[in-house]
Amino acid sequence: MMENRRKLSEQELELLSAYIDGQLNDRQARRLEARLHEDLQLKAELDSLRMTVNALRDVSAPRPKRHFMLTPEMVGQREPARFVPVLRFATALAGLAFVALVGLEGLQSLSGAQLAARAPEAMREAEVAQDAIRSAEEPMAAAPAAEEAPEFEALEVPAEEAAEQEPEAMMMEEPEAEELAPTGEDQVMKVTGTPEATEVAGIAAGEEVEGRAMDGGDEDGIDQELGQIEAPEEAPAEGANATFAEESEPATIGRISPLRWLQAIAGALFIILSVLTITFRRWSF
Amino acid sequence: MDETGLIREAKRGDLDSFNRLVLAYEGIAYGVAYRIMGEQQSAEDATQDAFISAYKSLKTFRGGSFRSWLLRIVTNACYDELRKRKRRPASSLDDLSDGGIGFDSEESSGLFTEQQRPEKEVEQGELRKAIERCLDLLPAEYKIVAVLVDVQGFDYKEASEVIQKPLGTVKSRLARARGRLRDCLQDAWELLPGKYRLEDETR
Repeated sequence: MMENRRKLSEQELELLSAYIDGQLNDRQARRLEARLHEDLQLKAELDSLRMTVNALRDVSAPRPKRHFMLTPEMVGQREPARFVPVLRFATALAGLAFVALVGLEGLQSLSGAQLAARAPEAMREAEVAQDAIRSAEEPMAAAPAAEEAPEFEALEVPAEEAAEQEPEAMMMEEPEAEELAPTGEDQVMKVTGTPEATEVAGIAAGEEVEGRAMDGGDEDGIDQELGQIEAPEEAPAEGANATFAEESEPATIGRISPLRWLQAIAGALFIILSVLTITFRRWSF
Repeated sequence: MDETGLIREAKRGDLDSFNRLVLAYEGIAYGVAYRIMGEQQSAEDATQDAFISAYKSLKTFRGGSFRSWLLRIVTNACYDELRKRKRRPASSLDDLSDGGIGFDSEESSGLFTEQQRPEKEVEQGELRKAIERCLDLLPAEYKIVAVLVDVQGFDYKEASEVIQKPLGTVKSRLARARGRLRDCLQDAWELLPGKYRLEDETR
């Protein structure tokens, strides 16, 4: 078969190749088939080409020995996908917390405004109370000292005994009196409720105990001391007014309220988490 | 999920969806790469590079035949690799003798020596070697068309999409490739299995 081959033109070769694949239209196919009946050499060329095509189609394709699946590292993808949802959730939580805290502050402001509206009335009541304190007589002015009496009397006992006994014991009195001063201060704080009054009263109470210890329980000395602290005793009344005025406003003067701190923390968290979420989402692609 | 859905998810960055496409097409991609490169290791490298490129440029896929689009990337990766090496593709005869190709037949299993194999197996092996040698001798532009149409079974339109040339170019290149292959295989015709000779005689 191969011996009778003749050299085909490019056009004939394309025609035969297309005929094998059924790419000729009906007219072209009929004309070629008519030629093939007459031209045996052309028929032999067609057969040899067809054999070649059949042989190529029967060649089994090689199979790869491995898979070619991609890993995140191959395509420059890191692995943020697992914790990005967690970041999103945390961001949403921080945002919600911030909104809730701002809303809470709004509610507090509203209630504060209502209290402020009632403030003048409260101020008048305070003035009345102050007048009553001023018009009170001296024994009344000594009332805080009387209230302190039980504890101080109990404390006076070792001081008086020490004064009657030996001079060495006197050396022990001063530290003991110093220790008593804070106790007196605590009690005064309960009465007045303001720092200024507490300080004054605390000093007065400390001096009183010290004075008593030094005087060895002299009643005149006590009266004198009480007379000295009469003037500072007015401070709690003024301090009470100031304290009331402060308590009528929610925001504490001189420091940031805890609510504001929480708002700041929630807001900062929201911003940081948002930035992290966006960053890691972009990082993954 | 169908191919369109997998492509859509892969475009959004879902690597698992893209890997399902890889599993579906890695056989044909490697087959084409192997025919172009002529040996296993280069074909594997080119195939892997092609899938990486395909994933990174997936957003440029605007529909149509994904297989054609992917094989275009595979052929480009192969030609890039060949250009880098600045050498002809190695003959696959060495690979065959080393058992380096994963053919289906027992040939690669090492069960038979050349002398022990049945006559038909020897014929098949010899014919395959001859065909691959002749394919390697073809110019690259002819070889890719012959591989796509005659080995992988693509139609002319798909082949034209892969090589990005008109249909007429595919037809003429295919005809020339077949003519050269026929001439190259002239000495191997006697090794053809009976069915080819029978077909020849019946026409």
